[in-house]
Amino acid sequence: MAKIPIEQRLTGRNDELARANRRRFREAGLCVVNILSSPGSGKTCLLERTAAHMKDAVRMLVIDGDVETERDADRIRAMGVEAIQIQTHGACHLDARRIDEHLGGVALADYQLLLIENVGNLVCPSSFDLGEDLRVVVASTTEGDDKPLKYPKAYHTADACVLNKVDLLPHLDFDVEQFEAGARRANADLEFFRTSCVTDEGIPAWCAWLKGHLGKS
Amino acid sequence: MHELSIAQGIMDVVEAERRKHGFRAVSVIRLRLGALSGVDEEALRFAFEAVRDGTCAAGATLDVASEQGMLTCRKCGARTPADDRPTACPACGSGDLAFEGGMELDIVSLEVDTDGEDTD
Repeated sequence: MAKIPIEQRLTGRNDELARANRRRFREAGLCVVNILSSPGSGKTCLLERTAAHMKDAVRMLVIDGDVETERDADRIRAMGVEAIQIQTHGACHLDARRIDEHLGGVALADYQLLLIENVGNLVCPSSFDLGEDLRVVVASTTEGDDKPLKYPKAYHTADACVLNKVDLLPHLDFDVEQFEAGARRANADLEFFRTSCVTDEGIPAWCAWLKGHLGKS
Repeated sequence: MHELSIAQGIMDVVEAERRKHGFRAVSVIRLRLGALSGVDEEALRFAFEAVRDGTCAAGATLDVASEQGMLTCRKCGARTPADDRPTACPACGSGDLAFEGGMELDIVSLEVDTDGEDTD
């Protein structure tokens, strides 16, 4: 019997590929944002509104991760922005290898901003670095204000938190202060945005934040 | 449910170590799992049973140490274990608590059986 010390991350292989992705993104001067949320929070709507506000000023590319279908990428393309659909066929998250595979033939230097819409799931995607510069967690007012306490990891690893569907607040028993306090417990340094894709509230501030990070990486 | 890919990650490390050290079998795999690692211990054990068959880890057990992480008060600096998830600092009552640690998802060490050295 012998003991072999190892001390290694179990996501080591993914971390390695993510570092390679990050190097490639930096060389191309591309700012990459990994967007996490549960299904139905309005990630694709947020990306549609983001595209509407930014596409004329910023060269954008979107990756949509879903278990099945091209629907999300089609919605982004309809907004006049190039989109790549990744269908995971069952897998609950995107990983660095899949991102690398799908960006193989893409001239990254042609773009300034890559928005990656991860698979709708608040648990698994947060364990996998894709090589992004920024991680954003999107929640919506119809999900309940205790979500950050229930899914702290997604908030813990994020740089910003978007609370979407704020136009519905008058009809809901949702305490925004309590939601943001819960998110701050997981991560005291989060940037907050309150958005509505129906009224456009908060979308300019969110886009300004994204623009502020372009070319920094 | 990405525990299967994590379990496969354990087997990748075990196989890499076996190529380096040439042991016959693994008896214990020690892991460190944080409360915020996003991995469920029971689901991981179940997934590991599925991937270990027919490998040098077929008879191995997982020895999992859980890490709860710490909360640090941003007002007074007091540190509290995050186990019981306090909503306010026990020292000064402030609710401005920052979470630290608890993200561990590590393979720490292997106990291996070196009888009849098999260097593959």
